[in-house]
Amino acid sequence: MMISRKRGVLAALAGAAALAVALTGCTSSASTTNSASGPTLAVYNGASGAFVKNFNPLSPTVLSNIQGLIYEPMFFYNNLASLATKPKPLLGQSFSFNADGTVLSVTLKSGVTWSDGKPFTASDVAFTMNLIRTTPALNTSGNTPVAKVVDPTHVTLTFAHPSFTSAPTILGTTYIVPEHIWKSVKEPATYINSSPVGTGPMEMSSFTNQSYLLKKNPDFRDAKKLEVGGLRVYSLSGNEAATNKLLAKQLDWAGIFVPDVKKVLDKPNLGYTFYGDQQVVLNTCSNTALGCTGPQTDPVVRQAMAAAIDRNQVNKLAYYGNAVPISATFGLPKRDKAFIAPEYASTEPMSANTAKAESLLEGAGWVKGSDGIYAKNGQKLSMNVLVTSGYTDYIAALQAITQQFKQAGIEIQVQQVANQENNSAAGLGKFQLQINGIFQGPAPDPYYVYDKYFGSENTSAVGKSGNPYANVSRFSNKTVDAALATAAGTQDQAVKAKAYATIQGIITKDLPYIPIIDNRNFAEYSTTQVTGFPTTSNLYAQPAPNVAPDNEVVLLNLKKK
Amino acid sequence: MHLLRKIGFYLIALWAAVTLNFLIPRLLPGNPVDTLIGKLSQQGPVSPGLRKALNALFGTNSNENLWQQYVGYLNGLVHGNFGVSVTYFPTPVIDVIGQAIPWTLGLVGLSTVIAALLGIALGTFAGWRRGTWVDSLIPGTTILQSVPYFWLALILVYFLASMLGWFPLSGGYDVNSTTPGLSGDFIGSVIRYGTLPALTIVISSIGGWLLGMRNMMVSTLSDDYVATAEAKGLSPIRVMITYAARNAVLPSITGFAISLGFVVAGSLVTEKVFSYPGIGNALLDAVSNNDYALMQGLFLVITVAVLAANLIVDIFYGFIDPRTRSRA
Amino acid sequence: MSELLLEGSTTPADAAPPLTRTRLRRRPGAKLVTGSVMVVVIVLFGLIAPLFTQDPRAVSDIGLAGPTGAHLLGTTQTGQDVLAQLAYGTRGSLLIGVLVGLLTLILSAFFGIIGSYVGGALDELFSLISNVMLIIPGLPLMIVIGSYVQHKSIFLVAGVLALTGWAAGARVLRGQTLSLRNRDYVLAARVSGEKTWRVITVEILPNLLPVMSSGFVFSIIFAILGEAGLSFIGIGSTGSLTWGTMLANAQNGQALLLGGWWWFVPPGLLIALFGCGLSLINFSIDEVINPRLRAPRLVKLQRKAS
Repeated sequence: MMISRKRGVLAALAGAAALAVALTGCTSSASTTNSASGPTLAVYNGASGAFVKNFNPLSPTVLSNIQGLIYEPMFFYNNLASLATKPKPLLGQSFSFNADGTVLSVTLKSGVTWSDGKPFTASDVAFTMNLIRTTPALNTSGNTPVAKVVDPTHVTLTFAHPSFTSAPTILGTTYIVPEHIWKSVKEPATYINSSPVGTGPMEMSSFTNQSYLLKKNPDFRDAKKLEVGGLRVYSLSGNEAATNKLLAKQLDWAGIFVPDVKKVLDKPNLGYTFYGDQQVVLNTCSNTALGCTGPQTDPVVRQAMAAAIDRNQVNKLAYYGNAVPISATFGLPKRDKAFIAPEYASTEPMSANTAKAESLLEGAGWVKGSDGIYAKNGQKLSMNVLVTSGYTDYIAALQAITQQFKQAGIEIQVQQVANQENNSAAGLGKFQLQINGIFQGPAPDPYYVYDKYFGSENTSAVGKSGNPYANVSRFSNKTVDAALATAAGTQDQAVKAKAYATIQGIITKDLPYIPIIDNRNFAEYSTTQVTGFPTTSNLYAQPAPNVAPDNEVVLLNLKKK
Repeated sequence: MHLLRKIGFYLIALWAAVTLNFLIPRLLPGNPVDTLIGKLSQQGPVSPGLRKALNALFGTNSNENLWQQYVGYLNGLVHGNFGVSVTYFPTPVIDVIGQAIPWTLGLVGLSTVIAALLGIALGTFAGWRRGTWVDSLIPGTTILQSVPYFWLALILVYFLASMLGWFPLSGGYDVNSTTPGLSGDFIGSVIRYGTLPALTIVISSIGGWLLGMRNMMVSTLSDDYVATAEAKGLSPIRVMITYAARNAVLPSITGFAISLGFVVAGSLVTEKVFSYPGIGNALLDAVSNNDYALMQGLFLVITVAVLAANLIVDIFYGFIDPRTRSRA
Repeated sequence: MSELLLEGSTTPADAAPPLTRTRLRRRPGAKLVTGSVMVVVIVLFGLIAPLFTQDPRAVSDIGLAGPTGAHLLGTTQTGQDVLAQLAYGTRGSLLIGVLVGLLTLILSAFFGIIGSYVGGALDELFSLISNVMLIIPGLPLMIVIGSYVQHKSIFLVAGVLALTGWAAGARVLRGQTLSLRNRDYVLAARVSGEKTWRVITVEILPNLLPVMSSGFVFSIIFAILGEAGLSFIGIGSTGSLTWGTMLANAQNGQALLLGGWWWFVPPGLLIALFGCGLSLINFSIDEVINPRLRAPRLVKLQRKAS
């Protein structure tokens, strides 16, 4: 599932003509704006509908590109590199934890100024941290530290408990706001911050409800290195409209789903980069102790389903052959090499093994009925699968899987439901199977996936509203919880790896999330005006424009053509 | 007396509609917090504390029961306070609606006027020339009405905008070269961007006006007074317009007033196809984000507009056709 | 829409005298024949073709591919046969159309005829219900109802379309009944002590038949277009096969961007043709309701005169 996919309502026919538009040489004004300070890039973040002013970087509904390009965090964690890679300094210079992981000392860059000319100091960082901590509506990490200024370039952050794993959120995605302006803001959670003052490479230039323009911040510390003059952000009706604009060279940078991207974007000066991973799985409501019911609560059934999937066919029909094999450990084979135990290093087979599925089921007492579907104790091996309507890749995948399961004597009924209905079912545990993605954490460490999707504290009993994007399988295992605690309490990679091996041993057998395939996200760009976007061989940051603060890192790497 | 009764009737209808508008969004599955978490999860890592923070931010999970919420909602309505949109947090609903409404009124309103005027004019002509070759064109207009609107619109976009490049693909105006304001540039741009969506609305709705008017014309033309006028030797144009069309147009005028009421509801599909920043788009956003306050606000505006149009028609008819007063 | 709240508006049928059997037996015109042929062909396609086509849900590794001998109308993104889907889709859409037509007819007759015939408080109540139904936005209502049903079948979609679509018809019937109930022959029947239900079924209903059948045909068109619209914005009967869900799937699969016109064009075309056929039939019905609508001879005379 791509970042910005809007379900349903899309203008496909418009897209069909893309080729024609490209051929007739429809020129764009966006590509020709090339001022002295550098070219202005036309960007689409996946927004549809009108833009409404919200430049508050601490607000969850902030407009795209405010975070990262106007406001910056202290460090940049490249989620695509291995954990051994050091975070890149942005506003910070360096940081270190005390031995038990409760105190984080940060050294900040000196000589940084806000876009109104005032100097940036440690008191801005301390102010931001304390503001978030004392405002429940802003405290999204739930573990924001007490901040103390040591001197203008040093700040200490004190956590209530060992918090090695919170560092990427606190250092990498907490956007620092200027104390001299924000100290007089009465309601920081609902403040729309109409004239934003930040430290980042861009500042707000103009805003309308269909588009806004960011232009180069002349006070930016690396202004000389920045070759891009500005960013024009558009609201379009959806991915087809955006694809059209890309093909017409009216967009320079986007992170949208393009079907059969290798074929559609095979044009001069257009490029795309596969990055990141969205591990597509069948969520199962697996735990009878927490109230799940149905055949999928039997681990053998889950193992049989995993074996019965023809991943090659799913890849071809749902992902145009662009997906890659998935690991049942949910680690990313390349990035997390150090963290995947050797015995689980191989990814799930790409072809179906129907015989294995059948022998697993028969070994557990399932008997094939006259209709070709297994049954046990009068219960038919038949389950409902929920999928959000309009999520075409998931729907296509399920069309194929339905047939593949049937071969193995397993029946599934696909139900397309509205997104919010699907969320509600997942949160409450009122589903049997659900196709969805596993989303990676803020740093390249499998800890975040294990904690969020397998930790007992991130689940709830069926019928009790839980987070629909956390442990919806109701998986709960004391050994896993203990290993998670061990991994969280150390910075020693060897200790972590050992804890993860324990977790992997359990989850690859229990399979509360049945691995289907690893669908790589991709971002698109035009090299008409600038070059230097991340490529598959040089993924220095996530290449989509709406991923912050990666967008800042990409912007600083772009070179005028 | 008649008028008072009518107004009382409308007030009851308004209350019923307002109450349903309150209830319907609350019966929707899911909640705004989870929907937003879903969206944010796709953009980047989301920490476990987010859900709690969002509940605090939106004031969801409060302990107010449905009745208290209802009283609060009515109270807010009386004071013109529609609450805050979750989709466009923290913008008040009234601002979101205020921003969207001019676009919808402009596009859908104008195209409704054009479709009605054109349809009535053509219908008058077709009715006058009944029984000739013109009649064979009538079914053609109904084909246009039987085509799924979005299908037609997308095909027009394909040919006129993508292939021929005569019109822009989507949007309300050219954001690169102009900014909203009362400048000639801006207005020209709005017209250029609005032409194709307007054209699709006119094409798909003109048939109804044409047919209704044509049929009324045919009926009226066989009335005695028209025959008398013709017998008097009045010019055909004069008979057509001042005798026949003038009377035949009454039902169309009513229909027109009512469809103006529905203009505010916008054309969901048109706005979606053309990415037009109006009410229809806002409503779809509100529904898919469980944005109760925005949905309520939009429903209210739509409901009031429809009721007002009906009330005007009712009063108007009371004057034109006194029979209705005694019968209702 | 123009019928809305217009208790006294003069619709064409107002002017028509009560119908006699002979008038209904008039020779069908060219419009009726053309329309009926179009409708019958499409209905037969929906009834018979599914017996011969492939499994519409069978995926195949060829993916999105153009028309060939094996797949006369090509295949969808997952290699499903478009012709087979079209055949089953026709069946689904027609079922929705007919169901909605019937439900709308029943609901509008109930609220329109009974209320206005009985009069008094019941009439006021029924009018109020119809009016409120007319102004409630139907889209969210659809989502709300849909959320209480696990499987969104085409029956559910039909039910919702009928629920949000009957009110306009009820207004028309109410106006008609109001004018009929004071006609001499109805009054005579009432005075002679006939029971209410008998007056309604024997004296009033037959005279409403043309209006009702026109309404029936109209609601079939309305239902098929409505279903397509709901599917387009993503809240239709997504799991079933109808013209609307086919269009929605083709669109979501960005069929045209990938050059797959064979996936997007046929369902829309069938809707247009079917709607056109029904409109032609409706024309003929209108001419029955209002005989003045066919008066070619009169026209010729007038021409000469003017």
